[in-house]
Amino acid sequence: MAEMIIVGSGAAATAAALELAQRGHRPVMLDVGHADDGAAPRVEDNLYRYRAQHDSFDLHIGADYRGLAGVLTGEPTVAKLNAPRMAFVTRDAAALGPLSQAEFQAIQSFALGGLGNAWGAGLYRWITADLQDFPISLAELEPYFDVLTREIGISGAGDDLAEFFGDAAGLQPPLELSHNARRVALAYRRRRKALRAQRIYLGRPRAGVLSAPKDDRPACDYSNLEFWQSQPYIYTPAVTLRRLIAAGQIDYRPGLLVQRWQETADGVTVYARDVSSGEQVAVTCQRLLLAAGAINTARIALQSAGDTTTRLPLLENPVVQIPVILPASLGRRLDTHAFGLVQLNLVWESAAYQTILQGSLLELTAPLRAEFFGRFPLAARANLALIRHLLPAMLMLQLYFPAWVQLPSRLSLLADGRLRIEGQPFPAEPARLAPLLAALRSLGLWTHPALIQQPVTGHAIHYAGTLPMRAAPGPYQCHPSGRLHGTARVYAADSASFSNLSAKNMSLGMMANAMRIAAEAAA
Amino acid sequence: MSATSYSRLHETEAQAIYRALFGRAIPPILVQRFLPVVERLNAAASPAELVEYYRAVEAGADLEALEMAGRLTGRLPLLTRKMQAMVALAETLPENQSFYVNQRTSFVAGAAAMVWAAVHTARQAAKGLWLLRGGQRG
Repeated sequence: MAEMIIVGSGAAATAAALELAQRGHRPVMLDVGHADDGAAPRVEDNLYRYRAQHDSFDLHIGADYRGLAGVLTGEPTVAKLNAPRMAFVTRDAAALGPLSQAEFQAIQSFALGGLGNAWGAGLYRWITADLQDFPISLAELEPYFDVLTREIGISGAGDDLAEFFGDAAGLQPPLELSHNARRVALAYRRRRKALRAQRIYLGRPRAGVLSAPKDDRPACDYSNLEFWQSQPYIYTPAVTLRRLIAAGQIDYRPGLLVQRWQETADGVTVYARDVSSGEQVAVTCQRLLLAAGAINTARIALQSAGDTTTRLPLLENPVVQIPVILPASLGRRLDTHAFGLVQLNLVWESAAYQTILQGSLLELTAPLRAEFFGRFPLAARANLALIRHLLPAMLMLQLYFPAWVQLPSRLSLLADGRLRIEGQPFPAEPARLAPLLAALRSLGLWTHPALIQQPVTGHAIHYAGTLPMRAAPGPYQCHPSGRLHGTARVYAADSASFSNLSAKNMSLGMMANAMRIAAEAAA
Repeated sequence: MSATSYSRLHETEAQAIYRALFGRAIPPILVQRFLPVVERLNAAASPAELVEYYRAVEAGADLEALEMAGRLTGRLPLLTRKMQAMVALAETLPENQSFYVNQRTSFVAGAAAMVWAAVHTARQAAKGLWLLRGGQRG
């Protein structure tokens, strides 16, 4: 009998495994574990230098036309996940985790390392405000934030956002800013006092992106390739996982889709399907840590109970996308030497929403230029002119709301085995964003309420709260230890056990909490 | 005509769409790469959409003008999507980078491009609306 089984291999599962390994345990990890087969040659150059010399069809589109998924299906997609070399991240997700969805579009991963393979690597410590409704204290998580900061290599700064992003100790220096982001940062320095009076703050992100070499991983090369292939300077859970596997510190068993568990007096039997052969596999353990992601951890819980009646909550961060233009950069040459993802963060203590909102100011240099063609409103050749002359002067503010601004979505198990998700659309009210838009204009960023876009619910890909921790838990809720109510040996170690979901990117908080729960389970 | 039989026109439409976008002949490799796009989008289109779209292609109409007007009126969605696909496919060729990537900074050139874009759009929208109302398509 195994001492511990961890289900999944994403950020939470990996953090739990790290904690257990550091305590001298050797957990079994059951995972489907699709991996990048490495067949496609990597691009080891700047994206735009490469494109100037090579046909980039394989890099951008792929033989299966995956890069055109949005255009060919007419459905909203997450562009980064359409990259051919990221196909492994969502491979077979619909078959392995069948869903029936209304007003929601969940993104699932059964890859080794999970959705972390394609994340933006925003990794932020929590503060007390992020623990709204949690029956645990920040002090219980702080030691794990320290461990993770050392393990991952997080770049950032102790700037105006430190009061929201926590201790800056142990951070690598922040990444270089793109030209446009530098202008915004300078404008903030000039307008800082006025913006802080409006409770709007700007600063550097905390990102799992190396600005200096660490171990055998190089520093960011500003190649704009992070949209298209995994880059070694961007931390993903697979980095830690592969190290633990190579060191023999975990017993990693891929090719297994965990379906349910059965608890007995002296252990837990976990039932999984071998995804290659279809055969049923049973593995027993003393403690079971579920870390398959909030949606699939809930699925396993419902399947284990054979429950097709209960509707569980599903939290997600509502998000709006606000394109902004820097008129001073009109006609500028494209910034081909840049980190293509988040440049700056914005935090707004909004009176209108009575809560903290967090924004990521994203560069637009990495995606295919054609990604924006259909978003511009002019005639086709005019849109191409906008791509050449206007797009290099643009950034995108992706503004996240905490889950508590709306009712939760609902999740239940259907008799045919699909998981039903009933989403809650979030009506973005441009009028309530007016103070923010005015603040952006004061920073030299022009925008207009009519430009605000809303991705479909589910595309923030921050899922949480399906088995929430409560001080006095009931069915399908967890104790503060992460142990699932009604069980003696089963723990929800991922964001399923979140009691709520702040606007802050949840990844580092989820990993720290997973370590805490793993420690509780091992005690 | 069935969706699949329209595929025989794919070289004609690829040529026409590419020329509408870039003002020159399409590289042969893009004709090949455009065929799967044609097949998939045609399979999902309604018979009425196919008829309207291919009537425009075969008539040699100004596809840019028609597409602009189509977007304004909710017509010719097939043309809009095929144009979007062609823009993405074309971007992968080294010889097309200058259509997508500005390598020289010039505020004046940028501002002038914006003015041209607005005027050009207004002209094409008017022309496209006239074509949709049955104006001469040739």
